[in-house]
Amino acid sequence: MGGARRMAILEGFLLLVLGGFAASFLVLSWELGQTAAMFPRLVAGVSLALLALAIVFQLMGRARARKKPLGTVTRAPDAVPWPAVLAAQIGYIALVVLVGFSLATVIYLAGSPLQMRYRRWGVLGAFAILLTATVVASFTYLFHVRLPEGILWSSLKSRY
Amino acid sequence: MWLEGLMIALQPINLLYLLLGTAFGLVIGALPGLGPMFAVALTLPLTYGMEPASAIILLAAVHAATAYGDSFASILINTPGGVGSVASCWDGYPMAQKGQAGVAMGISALGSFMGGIIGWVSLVAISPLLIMVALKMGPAEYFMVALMALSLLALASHGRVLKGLFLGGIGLLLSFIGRDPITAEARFTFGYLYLEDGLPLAPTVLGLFALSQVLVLSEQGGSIAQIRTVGKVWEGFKLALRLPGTIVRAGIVGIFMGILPALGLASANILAYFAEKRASKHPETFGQGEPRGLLAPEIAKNACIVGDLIPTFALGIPGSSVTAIFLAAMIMHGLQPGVQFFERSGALPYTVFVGILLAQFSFFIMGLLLARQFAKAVLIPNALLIPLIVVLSVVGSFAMRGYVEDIIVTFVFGFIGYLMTRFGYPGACLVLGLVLGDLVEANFHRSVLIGRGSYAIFFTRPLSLTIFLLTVLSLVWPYLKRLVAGKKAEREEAEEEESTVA
Repeated sequence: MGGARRMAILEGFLLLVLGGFAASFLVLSWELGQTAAMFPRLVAGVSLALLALAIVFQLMGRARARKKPLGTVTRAPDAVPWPAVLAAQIGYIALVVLVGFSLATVIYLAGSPLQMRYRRWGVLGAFAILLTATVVASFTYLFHVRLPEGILWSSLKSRY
Repeated sequence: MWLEGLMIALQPINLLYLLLGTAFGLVIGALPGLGPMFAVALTLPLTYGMEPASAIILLAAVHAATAYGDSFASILINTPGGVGSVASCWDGYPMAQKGQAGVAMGISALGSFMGGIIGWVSLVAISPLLIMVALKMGPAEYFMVALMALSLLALASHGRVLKGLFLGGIGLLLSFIGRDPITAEARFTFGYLYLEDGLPLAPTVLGLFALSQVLVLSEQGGSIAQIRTVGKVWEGFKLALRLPGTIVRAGIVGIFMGILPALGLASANILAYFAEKRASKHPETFGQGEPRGLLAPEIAKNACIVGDLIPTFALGIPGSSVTAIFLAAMIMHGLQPGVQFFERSGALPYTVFVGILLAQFSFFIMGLLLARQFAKAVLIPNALLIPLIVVLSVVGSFAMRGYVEDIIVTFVFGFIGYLMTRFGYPGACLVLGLVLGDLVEANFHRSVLIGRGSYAIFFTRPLSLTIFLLTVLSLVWPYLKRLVAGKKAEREEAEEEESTVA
């Protein structure tokens, strides 16, 4: 029951974000000139009407029949709840911004599989180091793409 | 001329460029989010010192191989390599989950190859005729075709039509962020300079499909393939060859969408999928690993990609942003696209045509050699696959423009995409809206201008009206069918009751 309630809250959150987005576009379109506002206003209005219809049909469907639980998946023993994986991803971005792509990626590639109870240390070490080296080398030298070097590294470079 | 062109294209240096371009394109295509645009743009500066024929052959090889490689990620990790591979996920990924990744890769390889050949034949044989049809289409028709693509995609979303249409609208709204195409007025930027260029497409798509998939995979654990086998690539071949009707239908959709400037790739694979589902006697099998559902979009995608070159070479009008780079390459090498290209360049056009044909063979052979190895990706434990996808997504979103903000956009849309996946909201509709937004709005404005401020222009032009009616009919048809079937069942029940009473 708790799970179903959490799911309903999450879906409500999604609808709030998407609907709020369309509504804010509709409101903001009044600040624009006639030409720039015309089509966005039309699309935002139609989108909100479609959302309202979708919600009405969904509520009618729920009232008529008890819905089967949403998002049921076959879970393996190494399954991890999504908030933990999302938190690791946010940590990874923060690390990329702070210490740069290379170091952050080695740390993330070595640490993330541990979250899913992966314990083959040799594979893990090789995976983290070789993959990072391959990505960094190919993007830097082959594709000539500068990867984020991180605030710490940039400030150290500018100081010395 | 053809023989001369063939001899030039077969020179060792050109064959080397062909192979290098194919290998490079396959690698880039296999990386989530990095599609033909990135690969061709990256290759362009390398062609500076080359002969014009070699340059175009290299670009054609990269273009064709990247488009084919795009399907790897769609089939194996449910992440479209680019907008042209969205529909390839729908049946390709379920096949991989069922332990048929190799079969799916076989279908994809042969489908892409046949699509390329169909596109090539149309490029050299029937391009003038097709261009005449395309030139009859004005802004109102383009607007209607784009709306039709959005509506059909919503319809293909397995009974979530309203949610699909709503998300198509949200996608359109997202595409309005940035400068207005007519007045250049900044819209919906919330004061951020970063948003004035608009919402970046690649990071958004990577978030919606790749990072959302990461969260789904983490909840499943194990590996993608629920059965520890990948099947044989040859079986995919045999399956594909047994479906000539699918090949013809998807080929026609691909060529036609290819010659329509700017509209093609994003819509071709989706329309082909939908046309195939409509033609099937068992539409309920689509979305559950139906080979036709993978073959049709693959053929249409590659037919469209080669078809895209028709207006580029023949009229000097690029069919897409990728062919715009082709156009830039031609001009850079002193070639004048359009009629002059065919009349004043000697054997060069034929060399280019042969090069494009050879590029199809090249990616097909190389893809075949690698397909089974790539297919084994579905056996990798999710514990390793998840960080791999995350890292490639971060690099993919950063590589195009070098903004850290693009990485943040990817993660935000990753979370939204995950919620949409969980609650059955078809994310592909949002992406199509985002892709088509500029085109839809520009053609809407042009039409209204031509119609002197009146919306009647959309309904007074015969072709526009026909497309509109077809769209409405497609949207209403499933409900009408259900209604008619319900009435029929009621009538039969009543008749049965009457006969029992009698």
